[in-house]
Amino acid sequence: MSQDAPKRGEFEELAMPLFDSLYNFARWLTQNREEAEDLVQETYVKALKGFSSFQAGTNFRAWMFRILRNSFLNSRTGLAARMTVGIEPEEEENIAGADQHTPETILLQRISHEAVAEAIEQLPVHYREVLLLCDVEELKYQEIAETLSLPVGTVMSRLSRARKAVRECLEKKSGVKSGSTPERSAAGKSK
Amino acid sequence: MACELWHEKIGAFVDSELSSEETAELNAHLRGCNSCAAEIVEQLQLKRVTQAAGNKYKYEAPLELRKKILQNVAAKKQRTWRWNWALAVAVLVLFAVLLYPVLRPQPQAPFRELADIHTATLASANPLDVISSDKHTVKPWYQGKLSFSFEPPELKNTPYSLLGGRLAYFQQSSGAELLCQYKQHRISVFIFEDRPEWKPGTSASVLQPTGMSVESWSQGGLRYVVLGDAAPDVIHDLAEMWKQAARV
Repeated sequence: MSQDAPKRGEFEELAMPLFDSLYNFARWLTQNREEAEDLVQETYVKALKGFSSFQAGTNFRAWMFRILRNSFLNSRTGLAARMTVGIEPEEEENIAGADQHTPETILLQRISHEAVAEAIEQLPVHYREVLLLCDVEELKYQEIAETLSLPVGTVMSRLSRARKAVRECLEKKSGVKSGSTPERSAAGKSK
Repeated sequence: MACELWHEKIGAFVDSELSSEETAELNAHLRGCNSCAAEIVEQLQLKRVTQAAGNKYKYEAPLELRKKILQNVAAKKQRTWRWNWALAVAVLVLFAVLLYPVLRPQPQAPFRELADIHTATLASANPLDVISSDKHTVKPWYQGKLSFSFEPPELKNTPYSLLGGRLAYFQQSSGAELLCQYKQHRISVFIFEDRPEWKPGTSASVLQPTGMSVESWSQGGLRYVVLGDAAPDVIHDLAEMWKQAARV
């Protein structure tokens, strides 16, 4: 028992600074306050229990996010999200073909944060999580790969798709149709 | 490298995940490729608005939840501390038990030391500095030698007699040692200035392992110790006479 004391102290020291990020991530995933709270609590309980198995030197942040994310996937909301999304078709799709552009420099300048947040919320979970981990929590690709138990290549392709989806959603919101600008079409063709 | 291939890497560039070589190559490519340059600007802007929106709509964790989680972690830690305390107490108790014979208060220790002085006095070829059975001779002898004075009892017409006195040194202070006799027993009466380490009073008792009897009391700021190999009641009677004399 007494041998656990330094471990617990160490856990608290490592895990509590991640509390805000974990809660934010949980909230974005679940989109429900109570579920997010339960999820964060569950994450800490599991992490504390499994802390002895955590290997020093590996990424603790990614480890915590992974516990939270796996807990989410096993929750009712997470299961529902997985059912509705299905297995991603990303491998067949051409990522580089994000070519039908609107003048997004203008679109993105005038778009409200609220609209962007809504676009993120509407993303399927497997896109939402990767985008949040990268752009909001600022995890490195390697950390995201560890968190989601995916190869880095898949992280990159999911990110690309998530961004494309956000962009398309914003275009819809702003009423601008893809590829409607001759200038951008010309630019696309010149590639 | 063709634009299509660079497009795959633009995301990594925007996320600062390209190696420095690749970044340098891409920069070189961008100088001649408006399409890729425009794509980068868009992606950077998209990332920026995503970050901004994500941060603006960052959900603030409820304080209660933080407290609850912290308590969960800390509560377990406190339990651990309680165990640590229990362990510390157990160790202390064990030490106390083991060290008790060594560290226990030894109220008889000063008397043993005085018993040694008494024995040394008796063994000495010249045990006394002043030899007289007259208290009016013995008492004045101490004048100027001690920082206090005392009143010896009149032992004439008692079973006791005064043999004389000497200076005694006990625990870095000087005092009087008066030698009295009861039949064949010689008894020392020590008088020192009283100290807090002395117990308030010790009724006649037998010192182990010497078998000597001792009685001690404090009176008028002085500590009296009557000590000898006579029976405790003999010591006690002599002590009573000294107490009586000191009261006068």
